[in-house]
Formats: sequence, C-alpha cells, structure tokens
Amino acid sequence: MTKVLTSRFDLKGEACDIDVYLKTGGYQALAKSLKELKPEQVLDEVKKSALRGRGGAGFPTGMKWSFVPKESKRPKYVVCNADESEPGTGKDRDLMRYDPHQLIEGMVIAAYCLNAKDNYIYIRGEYWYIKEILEKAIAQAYERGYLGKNVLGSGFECNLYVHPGAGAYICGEETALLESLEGKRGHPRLKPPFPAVVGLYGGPTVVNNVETLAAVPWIIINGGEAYKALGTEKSGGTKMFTVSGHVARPGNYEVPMGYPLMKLINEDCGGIPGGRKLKAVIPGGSSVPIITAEESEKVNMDYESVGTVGSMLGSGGVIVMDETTDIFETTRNVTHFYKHESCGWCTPCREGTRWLYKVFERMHRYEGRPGDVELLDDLADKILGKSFCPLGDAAAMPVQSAIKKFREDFDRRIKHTLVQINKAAD
Amino acid sequence: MYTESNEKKLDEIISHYPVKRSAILPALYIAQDEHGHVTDDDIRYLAKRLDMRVNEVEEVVTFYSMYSRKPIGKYKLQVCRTLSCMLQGAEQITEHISHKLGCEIGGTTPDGKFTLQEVECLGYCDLAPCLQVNFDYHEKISTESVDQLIDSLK
Amino acid sequence: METVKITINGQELTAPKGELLIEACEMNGIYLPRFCHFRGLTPQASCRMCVVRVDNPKIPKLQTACTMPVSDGMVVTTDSQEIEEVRSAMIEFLLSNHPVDCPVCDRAGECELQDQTYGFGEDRTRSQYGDKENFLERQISPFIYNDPQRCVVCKRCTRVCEEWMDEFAITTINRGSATLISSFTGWVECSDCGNCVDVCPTGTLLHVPYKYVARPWDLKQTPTVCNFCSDGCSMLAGSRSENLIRTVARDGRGRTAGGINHDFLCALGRYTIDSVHSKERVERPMIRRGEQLIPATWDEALSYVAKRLAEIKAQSGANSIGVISSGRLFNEDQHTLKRFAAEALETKNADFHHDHDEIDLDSFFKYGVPTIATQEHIQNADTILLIGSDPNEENPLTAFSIRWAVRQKAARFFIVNSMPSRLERQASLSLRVREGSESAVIHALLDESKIGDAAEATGTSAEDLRAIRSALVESAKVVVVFGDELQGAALESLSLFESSIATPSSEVAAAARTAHIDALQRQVKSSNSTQKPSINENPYTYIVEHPTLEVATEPVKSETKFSFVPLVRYSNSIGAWQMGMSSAISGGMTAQAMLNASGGGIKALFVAGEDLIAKAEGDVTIVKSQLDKLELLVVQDMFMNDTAKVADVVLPVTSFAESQGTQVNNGSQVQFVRRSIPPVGQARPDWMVVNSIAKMMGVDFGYQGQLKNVFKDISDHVAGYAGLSHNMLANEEPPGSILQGRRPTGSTGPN
Ligand SMILES: Cc1cc2nc3c(=O)[nH]c(=O)nc-3n(C[C@H](O)[C@H](O)[C@H](O)COP(=O)(O)O)c2cc1C
Ligand code: SF4
Ligand code: FES
Repeated sequence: MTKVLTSRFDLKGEACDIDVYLKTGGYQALAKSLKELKPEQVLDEVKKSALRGRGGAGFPTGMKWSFVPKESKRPKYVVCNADESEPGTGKDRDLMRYDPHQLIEGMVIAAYCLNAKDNYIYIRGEYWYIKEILEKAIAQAYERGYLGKNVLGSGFECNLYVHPGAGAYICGEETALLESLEGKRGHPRLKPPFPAVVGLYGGPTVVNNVETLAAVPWIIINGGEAYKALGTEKSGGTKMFTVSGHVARPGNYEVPMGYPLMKLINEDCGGIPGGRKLKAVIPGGSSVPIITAEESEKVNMDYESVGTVGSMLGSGGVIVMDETTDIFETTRNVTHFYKHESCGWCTPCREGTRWLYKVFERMHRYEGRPGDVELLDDLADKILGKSFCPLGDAAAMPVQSAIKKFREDFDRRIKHTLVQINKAAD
Repeated sequence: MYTESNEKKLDEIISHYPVKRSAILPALYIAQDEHGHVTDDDIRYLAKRLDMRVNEVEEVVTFYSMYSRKPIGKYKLQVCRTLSCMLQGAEQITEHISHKLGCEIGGTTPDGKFTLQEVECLGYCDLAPCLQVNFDYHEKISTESVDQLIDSLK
Repeated sequence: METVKITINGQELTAPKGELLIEACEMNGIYLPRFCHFRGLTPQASCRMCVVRVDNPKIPKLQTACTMPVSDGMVVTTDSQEIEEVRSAMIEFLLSNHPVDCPVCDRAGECELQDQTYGFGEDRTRSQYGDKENFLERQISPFIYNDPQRCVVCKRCTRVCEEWMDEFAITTINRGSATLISSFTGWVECSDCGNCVDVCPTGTLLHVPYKYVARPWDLKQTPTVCNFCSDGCSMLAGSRSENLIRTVARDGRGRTAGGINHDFLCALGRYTIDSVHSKERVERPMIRRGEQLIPATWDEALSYVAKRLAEIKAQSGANSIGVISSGRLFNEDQHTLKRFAAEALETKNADFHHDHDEIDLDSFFKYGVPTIATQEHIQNADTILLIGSDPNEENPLTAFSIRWAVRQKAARFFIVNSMPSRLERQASLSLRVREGSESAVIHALLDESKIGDAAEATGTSAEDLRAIRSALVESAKVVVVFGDELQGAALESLSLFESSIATPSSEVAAAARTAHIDALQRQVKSSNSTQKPSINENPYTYIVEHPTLEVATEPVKSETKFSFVPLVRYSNSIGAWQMGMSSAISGGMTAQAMLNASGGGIKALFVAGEDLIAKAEGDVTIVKSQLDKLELLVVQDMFMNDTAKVADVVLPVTSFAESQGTQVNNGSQVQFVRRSIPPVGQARPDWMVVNSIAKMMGVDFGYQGQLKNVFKDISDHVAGYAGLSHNMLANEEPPGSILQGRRPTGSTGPN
C-alpha cells in the first residue's frame, strides 16, 4: 500500500531531524515548486488531486485555495489547524511528532501558492511537547533556508510560527481558531465573509488541517492525478484513521480511501479482543452519527460510502465498541463533552447541551422520567441546524442516532412508574 | 512574576504577530508557570504589556480550560474522561487515584502537591487510557502504572 | 436614500438598501422577536430568535434576519410553522435555566423575555426546578445589580459598554453554560452610565437605586429632556404620585423617549435626579429679618421684592440693578427675565452667568453664523476635529456620537487638546498641546503659512498639523467640536473655515483670510481690555426645524462642508444667548462686572438659578464680600445654596421635572421639556415669579399667566423662532407599543 503521509513513521521520530528528512526525499517538493512551478501550477496540482480537507468537513482543498483573492491590501495567511480535539482522533499528533518537516514543507508550498509571508500552526495547548518538536524543526528549516527571507534563493519570504491553544475544542472550528489566534475568546465568527476572503487580522486566510497540508508534498512530487488514483473515483488519495476503543491494536492507520471498515478493524487492528462481538462504531470522531454492527459490514472508508449509512467520515476517528458497551453511557459521555466545550455564544447549544446533560444525569441514576427519551430526542432536534456553528449539530447528532439505533439502552434508564406497571398488569 | 528571562521570551513571542494581543495565550502560560495559576497581578501586568484592558484578559483566561484563576497543586493529574478512554476504563483509574491520594476529583491534596482533574479528550484516544501530569503525557495507564507514577512524584 | 423592493410573506415592500432585514421588517410593521439584536450594536446572531426563511436555493437553512442585509428582489417568509417552532424552542431553552421569578423581579412588566414568551413561546416548560443551575445574585457596582440566572447572554450590555462608552467595564467570563456577565475582580469600575441596565432585556442587570422601588406599570412615563449638559438628551421620566422615581433612555420594551440620543443616556441624566427631591430644596419663600431668613407667603415676598427694587431704582437709577440668570433656565424664563430687566427695571445689566469655562458665543458668532452640527451631523461626518474640550467627561452623548462615526462610518478623527481624553483611543491622530495653545492651531488651519508658528506654540510637529489641515481640505463633511479653550480671534475665525477652506473661489478665501488677520491684530491690541466686541446684526443662530424628527439614516442635509458643535456648559446656554440674556446684546455689564461693581455702581442683584459663591473662580471670600455690599440680593433658586443663604429674599422655583419650557442644546435644537411631577413645596416656575414681580411694578407682559403665551412672545420677537409653538415641539409621537412600530416615527436613527 502506498504511504503518502506515514512513510517516515517507522523511523519513530528520527525524521524530526532535518538531515534524516532530507535523506528520505524531504524538501524536494518545495524545491520543485519554487524552481519549476508557478503558484497557479501548484494550485492546479492540488485541484487535480481531489484532496479534500481532513479536518472534518471534507471541503475540496484546491477549491478553498482558489477562493483567496489574488490581490489583497491586507497580508494573506496560511494557518494550519493542529487543534486536534475531536474525541477519537490522534492522527495529527503522530503526523507532527514523527514527521514535522513534512507538515512544514506542505505549509511552505501552500504559502508559496497563495503568496503568504507569515504563517501559523495553531496547536492545542496540551500538545506542548509536540509544539517543541515543531519549533526545533522550524529552526532547522530556517537554518537551511527552507524558511526565512529568501526561501531557497527564490526571493520568496516565508515565516512560520507555532501558536499554542489553551484547552477549547471550539478553537478547532476555523473561525474560532482565528479569533483565538488574535488573542480573543474562541467564539466562532459570522460567515460570510469566509476566512479565505476575510480571515486572520482581516486578511485572506486559508485554514487547513495538518493531514491536509502534510499530503501536499507528495502531491507535488507525484502529481495530483497519481494522488487521486490512490483512492476511489470521488474520494481521492489516502486517509489516516485513528482507531480506538475495543480493538486489539488501536493506533493510527493510513489506508487508501474506500478501504472496508471491517477490514480495518479485523485485519489491521487485530479485531475485537476476547472474541466478543461488535456492537457499534463511530466512524469519524464523536460528532458523527453512530452506526450499528450490520451497517459497519457494508461500509467502506470514504466520504460517499459512510454517507450511505447516514454517518460521516469526519475527522477519521474510528471508535469501536463491543457488545458489552452501553450506548446510553457512551452517549452521556460525549454529551458531557459538548456541554463542557460549548462556547456559550448561541442559545440552542449553550442551553441545549446543559439541559441534555441534566436529563442524561438523572437517567444515569436510573431516575429517568417517562418521556425522557423523547425529550432527549426532541431537545437534540431543537439544537440541530439552529445553532450558530456546527458544534451544536455535533452535540445533537450523536444523541439522535444513538436513540434511533440503540433505543433499548435508553429505555432501561427510565424509572418504572405506576402507570407502566399497571399497563404491564393489564 | 515576570522575570527578566521571561520578559525576553515574551518579547520574542510578541514579535511573531502584527498585533500584540495575539501573544496573550502563550504569555499566560509563562505567567501560570510561576505560581501554577494566573493571578490578578499577572492579568494587570499582561493587560499593560499587550495593550489590552484587564477585562479583555480576564475574559480570555476564563474561556480556556488550561488556565486556572485559583491556586492548584504542584502536579496537576489530568485523567482523560472522554469516550475512547472511558471505554478503556479511565473512570476506574480516576477513582483509584482519588482513593490513593485521598482527594476528590477537582480537589487538591492538603499538602498542595497534587490536583486531580478529569479532562476532556487529550488526543491520545488510540493510546487510551491516558493521563497528563502537567505537560507530560502518560499513555495506556493502569492502576499499577499510576501508583508507580504518583509514588515517584511524592 | 436608495431603496430596494423585497417581498415579505407575499407582500411587496420597500426598504433602504443595505438595511438589516430585521430592521427593514420593523420599518414595515413586522416585528421579529430578538434578544441579541439591538439597533446599532455589532450583529452577533446568537439568540437565534429572529430566524426567517429566505427564498434562495443556495441558502437551505433558516437565516438570522439580524445579520442579513436586504437586497433587491429578496423573498422572505417570517411566519411559518417551521419558524414558529424554532422561536418557541429558543424561548424554551432560555427559560430552561431561568428562575421565572417574575413576581419579585423589578423588570417584570417591561421584560422582553416575558413579552416574547407571551408572544412567541409555548405555555408549558419541560424544564423543572431540578434541571436548573444556580448562580448567586449580587451587586457589582455602586449602581448595578446582577442576577446571572436571569441572563439570556445576549451581550447587549457588554456591547454598549464597549461600543458606546468604550469602557469595556463588563464582559462575559467563563464559557458554555457557565458564561456569566462579570468583570475582572467582579467589581465593575466604570463611569456609571447605566446604559447596560437599560438595554438588558431581562432582569439580569438592575439599577440599584431603583431596586424594589416601584413596578413599571405603576409609573407614569413622561418623555422629557435632561437638563444637565448641553447635549440635551431625551429621557423617560418615570414618576409615581408626586415623586420622580427614575429616568431612563428606553423602557425595558425598547421604547425610547424619541430624542436625539435614541437609547443612550449618561450617568448624570440617569442618577442625579435625586436632586429633585433633595433635602436642600427651598420649599417656601423667605425674607431676611436680621440674621435669619424667615418663611413668608408668596404675596409678602413678591411685594417686598417689587417694593425694594422700585425704591433702589428710584434712588440709585435703573442701571444700579443687575439681573443674572443661569444657563440652565428655559427660554421662557430667560426671555421673561430679559423683559423684566429691560421693561420693569429698565436696566441694561442683564446677563446669563458665564465665566472662563464657557464658550464666548458672542465671539463665535461674530462673523456670522456657521452651520451648527447636531448629533446626526457628527454621526455622519467623514472627518471630526475635536479641539479644546473633552466631551467624554462633559458631554457624553457627543463622545458617543464621535465613537459612532469612527466605528460605523470609519470617520477620521483628530484631537487637539491640552488634557488627556479617553477618546484618544478612537483618534487617528491626537495632539497633546501646551495648555492654552489650542487657538494657535485654528490659525494654522486657516492659514497654511502659520503652521510653523503653531507647531512651536503648541509644542507639536508641523507635519502633524499639516496632516490635519489636509484632511480638512480633502473631506466632504467636517464637524469641528470645540470647547472653551478656544478664545478670542481663534473663536471668531471658526466661521471663516467655510469660506477660506471649503470655498474654491480665491476671492472669498482671501477676504476670509483678511478678516482672520484683522481679528488676530485686534486681539493683540485689545488683549488687556475686558470690553466685549460688539455683536453682528443678526445674532440668532440657525435653528434646526423640528430637530427631534430628523431621520438619521439619510445623510444629513447641510449645504456646508463645515459644521460646528460648541460644547457650551449648560443645558440652555445657547438659548439664554438667543433670548438676548447677554450683556453683549443689552450693552450692559457682564455678570462678573456686576459683581465687581457691587456696592459701587450696582446696588441690587436679582439672581435666578445661579450660585454665585459656588461658581467663584479663585477666592470665595471676595464674592462673599461683594455680595455683602449690596443693598438688596434676591435669589430665586431650587436650593438653599451658599448664595441663597446670604440673600435678602429667597424665592423657591421648580426643577426641570416640575415645569415645562423649551431649551436649546449645543446642536441648536429647540426641545420641549415636559412636566413630569407637580411642583415640590410651594415652588413656582422662574418666569412666573418674575412675571408677578413685574406686574407689581406696574409692567404687564401680557402673558395672562400662560406659559404658551411666553413662547408666543418669543416666536414673535426672536428671529429663528418664528412659526414654532409648544404644541408643535411637543407633538413628537409618544412611545409606541411593543409589538409594532415601536419607534417614534422617523427616528430610525443609528442606535
Ligand atoms: C466544532 C468544530 C471543531 C473542529 N475541530 C477541528 C480540529 O480540531 N481540527 C481540524 O483540523 N479541524 C477542525 N474543525 C474543522 C475546521 O473548522 C475546518 O473545517 C478545518 O480546519 C479546515 O481544514 P481542512 O479543509 O483541511 O479540513 C472543526 C470544526 C468544528 C465545527
Ligand atoms: S453552536 Fe453556538 S454556543 Fe455552540 S460552540 Fe457554536 S457558537 Fe458556540
Ligand atoms: S436577534 Fe438575530 S439572532 Fe438574536
């Protein structure tokens, strides 16, 4: 299997050193871009690759870049989204700690394509040690002229800084991220205008996920077509999945788009331990709808196939749950997450997640009232599509899908009232 | 609070941005490093230093979960409580630590050494369950491994 | 104003181009529910109440009307099952953690959450007591009380604090469902404007002085005009039986008093109304008997005054009597006092008290009357020059308008001041000059060749002065806001700006420059003389017709490039001057000269509404001994102040709340002040007292005891007032009802 992103993972971090990176083909894509390609040609390759954003939304990267106006009074920026806080996801972590130069190279190419001088990597504060790895790598890149006033003698100036977040999931949302980078509370911004037009400090800004940017060097070296050919017709390339939960070998796996989910679980991850049966899978991080074991059998890991069972590829966080799992409890767990991470800006998300969790709490104590399951479903419905940013949806979808598919786990939490007992007696 | 070497660090950080206030998050880490929490004086100082108003600093500090406005223990034990870690038994480990330290979740030991917290997803889902002690990650923890860890810190 | 056609619920309507849909709907009588939206504040789309469906295949989701500008041909549905469901869901969410303690909440009755629950919510809630989280209520400033559990996090309060006041004294802390309105250290340090409380749609923020004092439905709400500074804000005076309880810019339902300030009010207007019921109020007339002031009946007091004045007039001549008024008295009072001086006392010495910290209006109007800028001129200016004053302290509404222009219209803003001002944060260039050197800057602006001199005199750079000058030259609409630091020739020359900077004709400009140089030279010659320059023939300023009915979204229609805001000290300084209550017009002594002459040329003083001792510049004992030398000192005032204490006769008069009349603000807008409570004690309006004395002295002004006749007299005799009447001025529409047409007609102002 072709490895686009993880080719240096076997070196277990040695590639952090620029010499090792260079020896293994590093910075050739940047050299090629600067020497042989005009910015438009770089953009062309990225468009041809059909690369889609790996941060969750899956927006075509080439198209996003092309929204950036050519002429702009304000400086332009490329910002790497390394906030990685979607529960179930740990891929950007390994991409950065095992191969930081690959990301740096991808960013410089993107910056060259968009003519952005100052660029930032926004990394979640908890990843402090990775921030240090990145900073070391950046310093080396400056030393060797891959960053700085005159990148590889091309006259192109490119600077790169690492900016730490401080514990807020919402700062993964691109506009909240920009607010945070500007030194403010991480509240999302009104869209439009989109960041590609008005972004960081008011300048046109491209925000891309780590994995998205890390794929760029390979695309430049091997061509967009070649990248696209690795995946399916509609979903090009490879994708990294973080598999966690009830599997024998949890970890990060790079597979071609369209890889069967059960193959990933059973072959790559060694299946479910103890011979237990699969109960459910969350295929793309905690925000996406849960799918059942039967649905999992049918699913291939690409945007379209996961869509057919009503879920999403999201951030690529695959959470596997075996038959011993109580889906009520897992849903309570993620609801707590969204209540804790709601930024508090808009009514449905702020009040809705609080209320949802209150109901979950009493059901957890087996004190659910008749109608509480319907209440949960209805509250989620009233958040869905009404919130200011997609976090509200992310809180609602897991609840609705879990109730729909694993209702019995919820019903068990309702306190038996006289009415029900009487009914049973009738 | 802000020593001379910190000042240099701060100057360097400020130079990364066209707007001073962008440096507030990294600057707060430096401040918090000194006492384990962000003090009123830190806020006043940083407001002045970064051309912000004290309320602009306060609203930022209280938004982000990695800053504390109240004193906490020397070692902040943060056990991830979110789904992947929960599936691997994080809850039991937290309880175990709580018993061992004789300290509630969210509380600090009387000697001011440990603060035990449950936090949301730390990005180590495939290495669950996980624990962060200040900035250090510990993966695939078990009751035995945390015992060892805590003993080594005592 | 460019308009577009939009279709709302199948009905074709027009709206101003670029207007927000929520506002456009409201203009057409369709009220969309909202919490976070507030006229003129940055949109935030957080409450999700105002959702509508826009017919556009590209926009599949419901949209927030508070963030959507109208465009031509837009088709919108504001009423459907789907929309109703969202609205009631949002209300249910907001109530899910709300205490619903309306019976003990001060806001009940004027609470937008209450109203919108009735209007758009359901009559049930699925959230029960146990589902709610508690937050403690507490006082957060001398004037503000905060009950966080009632909060809907609309952030109107934090936005007014930031965007109107530039204080940022309150903000939101924490995040998610723990979000609270609070501040660093929890105690709010601010200028106490109280706007945050007024705009709060619920009972989260409350006025401490008003807490548990009254229920809104018990209050009579009278639209009236503040009489502290010269901005002249309208406000709603809430009274119950004989007491003034509170003043607000808007009641909790979004109804404003409909004035030039829309929703804005400052600390003075809001919290100084205590003085109306102060213990220091004089409640009955008093006559001195030896050391003591002894209560008397009105008849006794008035006839005593009339008799003594007649005696002194007979003995020492009419000009031995002086009449001094305060710049706070209404036009009707000033006019009557002036006639009293001229016709009953027959003295030339009549002046409203103005000292060095008052703008010398005689000089300002010397070369004719330039356009006087209203708040709307300021808000629509493309360049603003502030010179020699700090409106942030003295004229908060003007400061607000400046911030508005900078924030909303990207106006260029320059400051030339010897004192620091908080407005410097908004300025594109702020020059801190040597004390008293502001005038030099005016000369440099008028005459480029003077830039070098001015730079030296002020201690600034020629480059900066040149930058300001070229901005003035380039701009289309310039507002100059100035204070008492401008004096003499500089003040006289302001009205030459138009002809020398704005008019391209070189002849006119040259003539203006000559006049300016002439003024400068004269000033040098006469710098030691205290004599006032004589006034030009027509002193009466441009009066804005029906000022309070102007529409601010349309560009202000003034022909001239320059317009001016004289930041005069008092609520009616300009009115006093227009009424001719000025020594420059009567040709007599100034108030200060009268004091200096007391015991000499001046034997008696009649002082209306001014505490001469408190106003003394420098040594108080001098003023005291001057007053001592008088044969007669009559004081008519609200309070037993220091001057009243040494008077021979004290006559109690009404406050602005107890009387009616007109006053003129610094935008030269004539405004009608309504009575909101009956007189305190035996107080009578100033004009009425003076009218009675004149009658006793044998002069009848023909008012027949009616205030409107006084105004009739003014409109007959004072230029610029022709055609105005109380009726007309008072006939602004009263505040409307909440759900439709909530704004007084026409005042679709910026905030
Ligand atoms: C609530 C929320 C959280 C998000 N968190 C992340 C994140 O942690 N990392 C990330 O790369 N994108 C995250 N995103 C997606 C970003 O908004 C954005 O789409 C992405 O950074 C764009 O990069 P891409 O096009 O390369 O995917 C999040 C979005 C939302 C709504
Ligand atoms: S949905 Fe609303 S409250 Fe939730 S994170 Fe987004 S903006 Fe904030
Ligand atoms: S008024 Fe539009 S979202 Fe609040």
